[in-house]
Amino acid sequence: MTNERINEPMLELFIFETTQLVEQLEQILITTEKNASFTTEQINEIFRIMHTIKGSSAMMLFNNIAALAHALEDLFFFLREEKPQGVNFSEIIDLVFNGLDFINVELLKLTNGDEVDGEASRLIEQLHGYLLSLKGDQLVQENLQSESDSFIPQQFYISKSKQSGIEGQFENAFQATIYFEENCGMENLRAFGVVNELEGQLEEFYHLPQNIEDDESIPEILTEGFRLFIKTNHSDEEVRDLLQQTMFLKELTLKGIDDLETAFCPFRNELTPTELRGGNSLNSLMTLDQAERDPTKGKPAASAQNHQSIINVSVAKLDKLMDLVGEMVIAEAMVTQNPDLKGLDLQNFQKAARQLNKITTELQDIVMSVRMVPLAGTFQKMNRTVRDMCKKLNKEVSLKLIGEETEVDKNIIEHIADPLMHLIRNSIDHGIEEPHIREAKGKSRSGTIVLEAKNAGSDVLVSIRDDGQGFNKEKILAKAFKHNLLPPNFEELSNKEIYQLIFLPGFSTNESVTEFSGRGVGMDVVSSNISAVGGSVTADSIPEEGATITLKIPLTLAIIDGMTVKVGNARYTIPTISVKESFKPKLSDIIVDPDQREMLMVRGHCYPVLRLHQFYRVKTEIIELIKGMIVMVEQEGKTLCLFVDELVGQQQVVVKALPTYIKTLKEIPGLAGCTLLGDGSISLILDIPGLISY
Amino acid sequence: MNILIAEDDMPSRKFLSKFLSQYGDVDMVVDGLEALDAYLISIKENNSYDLICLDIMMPKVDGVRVLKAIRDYEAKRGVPQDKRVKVIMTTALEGTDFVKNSFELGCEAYAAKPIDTQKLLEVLEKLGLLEFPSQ
Repeated sequence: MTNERINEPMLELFIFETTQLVEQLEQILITTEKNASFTTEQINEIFRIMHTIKGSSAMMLFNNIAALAHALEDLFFFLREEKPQGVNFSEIIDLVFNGLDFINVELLKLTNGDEVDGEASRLIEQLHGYLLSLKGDQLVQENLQSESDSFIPQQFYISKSKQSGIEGQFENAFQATIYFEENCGMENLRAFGVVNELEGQLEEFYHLPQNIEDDESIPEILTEGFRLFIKTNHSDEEVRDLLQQTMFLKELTLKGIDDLETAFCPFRNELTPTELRGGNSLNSLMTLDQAERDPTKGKPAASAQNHQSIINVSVAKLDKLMDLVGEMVIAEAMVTQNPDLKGLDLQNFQKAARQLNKITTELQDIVMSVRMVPLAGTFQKMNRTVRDMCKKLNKEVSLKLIGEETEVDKNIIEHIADPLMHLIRNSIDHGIEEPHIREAKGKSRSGTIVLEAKNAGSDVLVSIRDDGQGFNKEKILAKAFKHNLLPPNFEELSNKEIYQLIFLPGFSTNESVTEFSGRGVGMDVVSSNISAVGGSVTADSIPEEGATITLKIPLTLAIIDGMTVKVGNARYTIPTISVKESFKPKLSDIIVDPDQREMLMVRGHCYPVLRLHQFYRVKTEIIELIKGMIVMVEQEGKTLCLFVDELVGQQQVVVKALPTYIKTLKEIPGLAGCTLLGDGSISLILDIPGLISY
Repeated sequence: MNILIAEDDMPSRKFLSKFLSQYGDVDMVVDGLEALDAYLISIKENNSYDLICLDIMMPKVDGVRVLKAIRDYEAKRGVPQDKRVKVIMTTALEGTDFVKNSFELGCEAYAAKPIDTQKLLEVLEKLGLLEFPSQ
């Protein structure tokens, strides 16, 4: 939700709070649906949430949301007070979900800067009708309605009027075209004079050509004339009089504009600056603490003492902090590894430097941990997906969450929410069979999907495991063949490699395209989204027992441990994680095949050699393998030997993306980014998976 | 309906007074001190205001302090909640802190500039200030 049109803090706060409340409510509903009953506590909680939404939306004058929340509140008020027996829970929950969906849509409109104009009356009628039918069963006293009606918000927030309101204030709109006398010269300056004259006299006007400061606009003024678009309260004659005073005027045409939208549309960008004056684009807010589900959280400003332990910080600020810490790590290296210090014996300095190093490392760890958010929120959203899918497809699936407390970087969470949803939809749609088929196969009637997250070194593994029919190898191959996605050597593909085919663009095995999956973009998007954050996707399956899709995601993107190597004058940084070993090769280990490809024999195994100086065409003195160093790198079971001049050292580096002007100029293979070394020189970070698969 | 507009910015003041004069008698002041004076005089003359529109950034005494002074004064005189003068803050300051602070001090509404007149009307109606509710 980043949209620069929102720049009213109150509106942001409303959206943020309401979104949180809605999410909270969804969680409660999912659990109640599982238990098929409401506890008193849950009813109170739902009642409280609806009450808060009602209050704040009434304050913001979003009457449709307020009315809907009110109707929902009535319903739960009734449930709370009367505790009716034998109520159809799934019906209630459907009603509430419909309501929540409505609120979500309206919130989205707000985020996009549109008016809140949804029509809630049908939903409200439904709710009232349902409530009446409940009451009919129970014969309820009248006082019920009156209590919840007594609430009238006493305070209002009037949000800023939109630009369109202001536009309407001007009575007239004109288009004027001015031709200057021939040979008067410096037409752009004449035009500038006109603009200068008009400023202060007319309320709002724009001109074409827009840039009259340099001479390039002269030809346009000569051929098309200098065109002015004016909005004003002045009358036709007044504007004409004003323009007639122009020096060297040859011809003036003035006509009214009826269709404001199209005429002024080229100037849209200029129309808005007053609106954007606030300027601060909406910062997505993040919660810094796990206490998201703290029940007191929803009450705005009500309980100040409960808020002390948690603060919300905009991600932009954290990004900035992260950047600064990164700079500091570099600056620290610049000081402690300063070439001026070489050969000096500075005991006290070394001591101080060690202390500095310790503190910067700690600082870095803290900043990292601040950015870490548990996956729980993302995981729990999947409950809703599963529920909706099951209802639509008439399947029975239960979702099990394991390891939802695992924490990953906030940026990464944003990137994996969509892929996860895709994968779960896919599992339900393609994997889990219909209940009767499952029973026929001797499986339990309802399928299970296990969503699990765990830490593995500096990665997080997220796996989605279902107990459905598994992947069908033949179908995948046939499908891949049909879409020309098969590699030439497809007979040699291992099972895993076959399953990997489903992540190729344009692949979808389900015969019929359903509402949820099967457009053949899903899996492709999943894998590209995941690799965008430096992760990978693998698929595995046992026929008739289920399929597992595993996402491997790095914990963080910003700082990595790197080994710096030298090739000619260039420096490269290899992520230490992928480095297996480094050594000086022996002449006897080097093998050259008939195609002149070099390989190294290490402990009985043969590994291909990649000469970095050849690969990146760097000039270097060292071109004989035995004179340089070999760095053996490994990624996902594949190994490659990189040939470099020498090793420089190991240090933590801050990953910076390659500047876009380089990226747009040329796609350079095998580079993950760049970083600054302690001496201020630039080192390129190698993308090991990219190099291996190149 | 008697209305007081405290606003130091001339165009805003004119705009508001033009708009509100359709619904009642409008007095205008240009700073917080004058606003307080006008408020006290109106009480003395037994012709008190029904609605006060306060800008926040004003010379001498700002709108928030005026609001606080008015509410304190009312509390001292024991004016019941529903008889208190209705106050709408009209300001370009849109920080949530300002809004919360003003609400805590007891203003009825907070309107961010540029003012959305339609919504303003809606609020006036909800506050029960319009004798003839708008269509």
